[in-house]
Amino acid sequence: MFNHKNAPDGTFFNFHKEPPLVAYEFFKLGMWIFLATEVLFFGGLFAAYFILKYKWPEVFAAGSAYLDVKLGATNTVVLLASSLTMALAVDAAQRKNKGKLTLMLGATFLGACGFLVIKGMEWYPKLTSGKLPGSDVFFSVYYMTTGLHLIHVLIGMYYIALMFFRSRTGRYTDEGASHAGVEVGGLYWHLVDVIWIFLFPLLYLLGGH
Amino acid sequence: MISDATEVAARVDMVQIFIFGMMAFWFIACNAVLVYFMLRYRRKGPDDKVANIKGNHMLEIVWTVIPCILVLIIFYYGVVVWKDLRVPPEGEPVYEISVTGQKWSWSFKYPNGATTGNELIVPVGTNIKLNMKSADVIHSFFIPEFRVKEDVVPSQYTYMWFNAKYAGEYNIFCTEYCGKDHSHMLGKVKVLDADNWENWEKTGLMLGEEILPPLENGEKLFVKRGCKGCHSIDGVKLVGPTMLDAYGRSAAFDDGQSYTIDDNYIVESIKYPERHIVAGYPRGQMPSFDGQLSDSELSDIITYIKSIKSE
Amino acid sequence: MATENKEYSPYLEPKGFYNWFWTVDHKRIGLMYLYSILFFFLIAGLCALGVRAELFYPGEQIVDHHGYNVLFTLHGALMVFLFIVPGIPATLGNFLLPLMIGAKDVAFPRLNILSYWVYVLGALVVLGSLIGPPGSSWLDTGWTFYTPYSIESSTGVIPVTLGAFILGFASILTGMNFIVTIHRMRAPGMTWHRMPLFVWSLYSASLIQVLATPVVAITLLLLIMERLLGIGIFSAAMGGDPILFENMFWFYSHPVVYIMILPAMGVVAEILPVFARKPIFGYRAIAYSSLAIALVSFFVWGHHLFVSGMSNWSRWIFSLLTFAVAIPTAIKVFNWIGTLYKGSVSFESPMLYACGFIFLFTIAGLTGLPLATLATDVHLHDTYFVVAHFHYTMQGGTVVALVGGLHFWWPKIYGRMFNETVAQVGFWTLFIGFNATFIPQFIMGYQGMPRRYADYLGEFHDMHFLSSVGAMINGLAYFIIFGNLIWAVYKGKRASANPYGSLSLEWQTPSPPPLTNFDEVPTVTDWTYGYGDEQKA
Repeated sequence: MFNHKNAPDGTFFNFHKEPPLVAYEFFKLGMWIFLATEVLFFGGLFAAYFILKYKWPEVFAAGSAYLDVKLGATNTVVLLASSLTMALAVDAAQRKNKGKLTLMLGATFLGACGFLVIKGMEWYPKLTSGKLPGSDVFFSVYYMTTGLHLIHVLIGMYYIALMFFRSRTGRYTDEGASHAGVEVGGLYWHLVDVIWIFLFPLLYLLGGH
Repeated sequence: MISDATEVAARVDMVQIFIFGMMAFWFIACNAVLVYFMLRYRRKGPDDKVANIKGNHMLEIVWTVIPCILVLIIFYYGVVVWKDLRVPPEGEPVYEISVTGQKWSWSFKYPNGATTGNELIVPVGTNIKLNMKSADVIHSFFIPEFRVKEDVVPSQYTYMWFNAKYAGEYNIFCTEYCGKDHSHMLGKVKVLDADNWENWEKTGLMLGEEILPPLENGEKLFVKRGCKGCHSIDGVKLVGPTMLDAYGRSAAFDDGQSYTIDDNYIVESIKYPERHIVAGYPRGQMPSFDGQLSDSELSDIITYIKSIKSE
Repeated sequence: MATENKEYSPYLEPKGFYNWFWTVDHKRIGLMYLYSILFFFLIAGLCALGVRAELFYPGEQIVDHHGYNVLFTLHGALMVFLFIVPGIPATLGNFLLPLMIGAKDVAFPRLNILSYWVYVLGALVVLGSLIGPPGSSWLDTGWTFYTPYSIESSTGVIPVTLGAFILGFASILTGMNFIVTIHRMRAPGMTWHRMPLFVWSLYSASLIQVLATPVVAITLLLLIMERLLGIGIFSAAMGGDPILFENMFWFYSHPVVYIMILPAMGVVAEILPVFARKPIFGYRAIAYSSLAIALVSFFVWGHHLFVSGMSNWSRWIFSLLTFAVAIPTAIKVFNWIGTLYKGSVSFESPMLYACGFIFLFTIAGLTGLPLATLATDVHLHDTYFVVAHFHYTMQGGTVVALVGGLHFWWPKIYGRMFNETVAQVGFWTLFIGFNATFIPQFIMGYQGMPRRYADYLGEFHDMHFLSSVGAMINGLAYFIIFGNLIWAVYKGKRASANPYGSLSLEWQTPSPPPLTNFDEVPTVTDWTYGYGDEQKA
């Protein structure tokens, strides 16, 4: 298989051997650009939401009323809390505090798990009672937005788990190591949170209650 | 080039000529200078003297501002004429006709209840407004000689208007790609003079036109309403079943039932095509002609279909 | 300056599939992209010849209506998604960007090769739509996938849209990589205003790649979901809005036109000063107009919907915004022409292509005016006039610049010279064939000939016939051109490090460049275009 550290033609240049500052700058700018693409990706969905809501206000009001605001609000709190622990993890990485970094990454991962469980509690009764994607335009938009958000949560969880195990080896906190990986992971996780902050009022609160 | 057959079309041509003039000027100006520089400053040897010019602020400003002004003029002229092209004159009476586009034919419904297929019949010198909707995918209604075009979409009504100056026949094209026979989704606008129009409105016939016998009228409708695009008369399998020897045949439907093809089945298939589909053919292909054909037209089509036999 | 030092090992070594496919070297990735896009250029070009062959005469000759629709769909989809979007950025851009700014590679070499793998995967998925009987499974929706036709069509919409979705990631990765590279990896002294204009144009195009591509990604994803689950967002029958699809689609697909043309403009801005032996005229105007085009490009998509049932006021707003693109474009043309003034112009084949580009691009740009004007666009919309207009930008612009750029940098890429006479013959064949193909299309478009017609009325026959004859010449030209370039790789004369006497950094290293690009990180003390100064070169 492909050896990341040493490509066959010997050209690969390794960030972990670059000065930490360089790697940090590269990764952070790259991640910000990636976040911009994410914003436009969801922007397309939000545009669809607004146009269809303008066209079918009553369908959207009825659909919104059907959603469980309590579960949605709980999930918002859970996700915000995991964003907080992620911020603390980034802080710990900056301070080269290995123990706290690992702890906070673990807490963030648990928060993400909590989000998944509550999401399952929301989706399951709907899927079994016939509120499927395609049953009306509101639920199509609902499943597309929350579903794509869910995929982003899963990707984030994969990366958080990766960081969790890497952090225990001291990859981010050793002398001369770069913590850029944690930094960009944090940026990504905050974006996932921010998208939810928009989704929650749009889907649960506007029109229906 | 192409004639213009409405008063607004002539004004659109004026905009076009204005822009073409502008294009010609700039095209010749740019490329004449380009070619002149290419020849005048071509390399004569390795020791050519070369001016050390990196730019000129004054020139940059000039050639930013001048195009700005010119495009604003074009834009303004374009919008002014377009408003008249787009919006029917206020306060004047308009004659409204409903247009339905469906794969791959046009049908028109007139205020007096008459319907026609692929032939839009209008009086000369009258403001005509078309209210258009699609029964399936997106089409676009285009009459080149009138310089009008508007998409015909399934989710909303769209409109266009025109006022033909001369009696005559003009092409209608579908200009939004709509599938296999997009290029055969053609029609004609027949602009009638006052006498002819009055006669047509009362009788459905042109001056001097005889009522066709049912068989010939059925054949004419079969072609004009676009049936022929999907239903062959020579046994070839197109989108839908062939009409050759169809009448009286026993056919299996895709829901497992079987049925003999008789007058009732033909009428049902024309009006509500989704009810029974012959096994082996896809659903959702045939548009409904409910309300677009009169009873006598339906019976003429049946007469025609009965006649398609292989012997 | 380059030395005749035999010690260095050019990037082309070591050979072998393993060494190339797993490489992270930007030059190799650029070349692999080049081979791949040219392969699809060949297929899509043959589809175009098939389309033109069918249109020699009205009626059905070679293919039936469905076959024709498949041909023009394949032509459009392959050309857009697999050839011209990655066209210049992923090939010449990948190869040259680090060289031009004095870097040893792009910022994220691993993402760079990932981009290529993703491209290959996307291409395979697109080609997957060709598995199955042509009559019922080959895509016939046109490359624009307009709903609701693309929802109803029984053909392979999902593989092609999924492929385009995947290809979008390749495009985003390349764009992201370029932006970070340009921001963070310029050699000491390579300030923003010393950068070659090709780099500026890549930067502008990358911004569009990064910001527009995600919107088409979500659009295509919704279309796939529409077909899989029937979610109804774009389906009129279920309360959705097919026009929403058009809006979202063109929000990407109009800016994407500038992903195609901006790097082409950059190539021309590189070639002109070298062969005119003169500084580029109005460096900052050209650089900033690239950014201006990138910015404005996001606000003009509505002109694709001028007759789609949009409200009347949004029509004239989009008309005004569309005119705004004309200004930076005009500025560029004037500055290119100004570069030749009082120069010492020689006409090797790269320069012919650059001047040919300016000629063809003035036609492309000027014929955009009646399409941006509301009154005239209503008539010209979706006719052959539009087809001719965008082929003048895409082929007359981007492809001509790509081919010109390949001639210009071929000695750098392979260290070999092509045959100049054949190259000139190739250029003139292309120039004549191309104009013969598309000038008749302007005329019949104005006469009202709609696009995407498998069959046409007899009155359009003369123009269609001329256009088809031109297309055959146009096709022949590419065999001459690429035959010559391929010949050069094996049999061409060895090229020196800097055969054209350019001052740009990529020429200050041996041809072909070593794996590490430069022996030591170069330090830049002057801008790239200091030709007139003291008879350098």
